[in-house]
Amino acid sequence: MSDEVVHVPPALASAVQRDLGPVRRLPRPSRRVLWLTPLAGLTLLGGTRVFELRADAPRLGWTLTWGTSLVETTAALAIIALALRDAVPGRSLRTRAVMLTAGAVLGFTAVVTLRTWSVSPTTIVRLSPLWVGKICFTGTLVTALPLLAAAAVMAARAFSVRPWSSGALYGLGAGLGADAGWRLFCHYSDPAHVFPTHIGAILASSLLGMLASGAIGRMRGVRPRV
Amino acid sequence: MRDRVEDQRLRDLMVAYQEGAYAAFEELYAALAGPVRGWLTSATRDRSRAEDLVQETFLQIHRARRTYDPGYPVMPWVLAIARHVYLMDRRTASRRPRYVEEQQAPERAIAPAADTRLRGEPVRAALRRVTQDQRHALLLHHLAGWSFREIGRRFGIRESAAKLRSSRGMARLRDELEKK
Repeated sequence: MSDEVVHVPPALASAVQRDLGPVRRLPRPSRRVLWLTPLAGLTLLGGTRVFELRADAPRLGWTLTWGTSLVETTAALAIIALALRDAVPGRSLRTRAVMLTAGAVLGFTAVVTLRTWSVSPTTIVRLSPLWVGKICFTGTLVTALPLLAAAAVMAARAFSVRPWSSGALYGLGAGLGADAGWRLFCHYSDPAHVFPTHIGAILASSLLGMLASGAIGRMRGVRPRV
Repeated sequence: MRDRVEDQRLRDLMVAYQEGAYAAFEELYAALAGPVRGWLTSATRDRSRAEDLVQETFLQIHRARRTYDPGYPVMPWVLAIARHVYLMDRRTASRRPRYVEEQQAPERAIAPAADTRLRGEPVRAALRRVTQDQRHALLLHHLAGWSFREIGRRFGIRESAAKLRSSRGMARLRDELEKK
């Protein structure tokens, strides 16, 4: 290091001094995500309180109903923790890691869908598949919104240098959390219904997260301009 | 070993800075401005541009200081912010107008004395030595009477950045005039 004295330029010094005070350090993502646990629990249990548990639940057993949904909720919180980590400068995930996470979610939900279908094949018979699909897609997406909004607020409190990736991750987590609840009372296990609507809603939630994160960044002026 | 000691010193300074110590910010600036400037110069290949971005990076560091976790090294955190500043600048550069079209400028009366003084060749020559961005901000504010907010909006930059450009331009102009 050079011995030359480096002075802070006056304009920068006055800008810093104007707003210099003790700041409360942001807690670690693993701790911050715990604040979302009650909301994630509500997202999981809310639907089954309002509607009834899916008709084929006894045939599927605990593992393919509550067990899988609990795993999905836990994974959702873990993904949101990753998003909160990603929103901190210097701790961003590589693009490959973000893609891998999305791939793992899709892979897991696809395996669960196929396994559920093989144990209890139920198809939409009396109602219009399009109408049921619309309900499940919209319902899952709307259920994901509170979790997504809360995660977005938490991520916005950091300083996301790559808003798209943190947004995509918390959107993915929120979507997965919502699916954990919806799969418990949706009676249809037909992959032709589950893939485009339930899994489609998870992807749509991820896209929504990306858009929300970008919009929040612009609103808060996080995009620095010189 | 020396790197570890330096890293620990930077972490301690960051913690003190988070607690509100301006002296810690000054020390951090002294320690980090060089590496940040070096990185930005290699990224932009333009010393003047890099210098502006160094100031912007430190403004963003100030804004994001609560996100620093002392459990991790300071340098990656700082360079991530510098990289972000560089990328955002590059993105907005294409949208930024290179000059202000006369017909778009709000009509303001120019102080007659200032106008007369500016016609002097020494001032014109000194102004030519100020970078284009700084010159625009300086003239629009001091001569045309634009607010920094208006300047910021015109160039697609923040108000504080417009203020920074204007004051840096003024300092440069003063230096140039004193030389003569």
